Amino acid sequence: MASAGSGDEKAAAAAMITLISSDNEKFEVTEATATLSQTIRHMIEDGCTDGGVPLPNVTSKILARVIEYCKKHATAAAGEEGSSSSFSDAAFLEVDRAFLEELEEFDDAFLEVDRATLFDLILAANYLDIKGLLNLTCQKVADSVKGKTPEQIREMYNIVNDLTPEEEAEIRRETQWAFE
Amino acid sequence: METTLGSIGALCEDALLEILARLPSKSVLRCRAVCKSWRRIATGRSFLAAHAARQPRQMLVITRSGTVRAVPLSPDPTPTVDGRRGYLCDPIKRDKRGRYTSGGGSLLASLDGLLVLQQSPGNFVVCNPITRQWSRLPQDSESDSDREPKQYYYTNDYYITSTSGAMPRRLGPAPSNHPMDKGYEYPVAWHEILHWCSSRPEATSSGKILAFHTVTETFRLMARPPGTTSAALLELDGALCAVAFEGTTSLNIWILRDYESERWMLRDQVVVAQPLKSLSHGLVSVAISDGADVILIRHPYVSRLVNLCDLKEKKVREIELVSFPRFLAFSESLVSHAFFEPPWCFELGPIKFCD
Repeated sequence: MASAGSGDEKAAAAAMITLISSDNEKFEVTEATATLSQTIRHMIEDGCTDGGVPLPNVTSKILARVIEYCKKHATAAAGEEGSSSSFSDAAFLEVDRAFLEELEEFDDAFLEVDRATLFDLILAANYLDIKGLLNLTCQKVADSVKGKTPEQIREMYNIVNDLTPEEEAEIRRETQWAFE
Repeated sequence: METTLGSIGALCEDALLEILARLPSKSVLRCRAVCKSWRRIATGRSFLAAHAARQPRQMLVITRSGTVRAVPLSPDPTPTVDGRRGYLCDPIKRDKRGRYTSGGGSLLASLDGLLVLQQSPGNFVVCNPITRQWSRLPQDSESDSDREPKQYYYTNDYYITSTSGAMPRRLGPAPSNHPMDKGYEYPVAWHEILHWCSSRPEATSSGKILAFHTVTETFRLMARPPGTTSAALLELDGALCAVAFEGTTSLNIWILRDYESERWMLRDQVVVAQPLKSLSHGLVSVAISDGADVILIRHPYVSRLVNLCDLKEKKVREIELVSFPRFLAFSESLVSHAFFEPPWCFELGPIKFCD
C-alpha cells in the first residue's frame, strides 16, 4: 500500500513477494516491483518464491535502496504499458514528458551515494539483473573514468598496477595515439 | 585494509565489463594499461562485442577536401563539418601542401566498424579508423575493372575476395544470365547475409532480392515485399526491413517477419503530407537508418535532395544536404581481426587519422 494512488486496486489485488536480505531482514514488495529484477522474475515464473526469496549477496541497506529504485521505476513501466494499448497522442506525450523528467530527477538524486554504496548497488543490480539500475550505476562510474589517464584511474580507485613495465610499454606502443 | 572498502577491485568481472562497455573507444584503449584484470577484460571477445553493440549508428560523409567523417543520423542531419568533429580518416595520398598526388581515393564500403577504401585503381584497403589499423585486400589478378568491394568480401561478377585468403576465389555464378549489363548496388548486410534489392542484373525481370550467405557462400533469390517495384533494404530494431513509396502519398516500411518463409508484413505506413519534389518517380535507391527511428532515403535520379522519415513523429520531410553523404552506416568497433596483425603491408600509401 506504500505506493498509493491510481493503481491502488491493482496493487491490492497483486501478489506480494517477500525478499530476504543477507542479514535476514524481510522486505515485502509487489510483484510488479520485484519483477523489474529478471532474476526474481524467473524465480516467480518457476514458482519458487513461497516462503520468501533469500538474497544472500545483498545486505538490507542495499536492498532497501534497490527496492526504492524498483518501486519508482515499476510505476513508470506500468504507465508505458498503458500507453501502448490506448495509442493516444499529444496529450499523453505531455504527461509522459513530465513523468520522464521526474524520473530523471529521481535517478540523479538516487546516485548521490558514497563510492562503496555505488559499487554495492552495481553488484546488486548485476546479481538481480535489473537493467535500468545497472545502466544508471555503471554509467556513473564510466563517466568518472572517461578521459582519464591510466595513472589517474589507478589513483582514483586505489588500483595496484600489476602489469610489468614491459607489458605496460607494449600496450602503450600498440595504440600510442590513445595516450597522447 | 581500505583497498577492499569502496574499492573498484571489489566488483566482479561482469560488473567491471558493464562499466568499461560504456566508455568511449579511446578510453577503453587507455584502460587496457591500468592493470592486468582491466587489460584482460578490455581485450576480451565478449567485451569487444558488447562495446561495439552499444555504439551509435552514424552516417559516413566525404567532405569537400576528401576526408571521411561520421555524422549522427538524427532528424536534423545537416552535417556540421566544423573543426575535426566526426573525423575518421583521410585516405588520400597528398603532397606537402595537402593536394592530391594521385587520382584520389574513395570510400567503398562500411560494415562492422570497418571501411573499405580504394587508394588507387586496383588498390583496396580495409581499415578500422578507430583502432587505426589497416591492411590491403588481396588483389584480383584476372580483372581489374569495376569491382564492388565490401567488408571482407567483395564480388565482381562472380568473384568473392576474403581477407582470409591470399587470392580471390572463384565461386559459382550468381543467379543471373546477363552478369554485366547492369552494376550491382551496394549490398545491405544483415546477419552475415548480403542483399541486393533493386539494382542488380535481372532485378526487374525476376522481381526478386538476391542474397549471399557469407558463411555458407551460397546465393539465393528471395521475395520482395508484395506490390513493390522499387524498394530499399535496411535494418530497424535488429530486423531486416524495406522502404518503398506507395504512389506519392505514403511511405511503407515493410518488415521481414520470418526470413526462411520470406514473409513480409507492413510495419509502418507514414503519410506524405506535403508533395515531395524528389518523389516524381516514386523510386528509392538507398536507405539507411540509425537502427531505430530515423530513416534517410535517396532517390535514383536526385543526388542531394533526400527524404528523412522520422518514425516517432510519423513524418516524411525533404532535406537538401550540404556535403556528400555516402549512405553508408558506420558504428565504432574495437573488435580485433587477424588480418590486421603484422606484418603489415608498407607499400600502402599512408592513411591519416585524427591528430
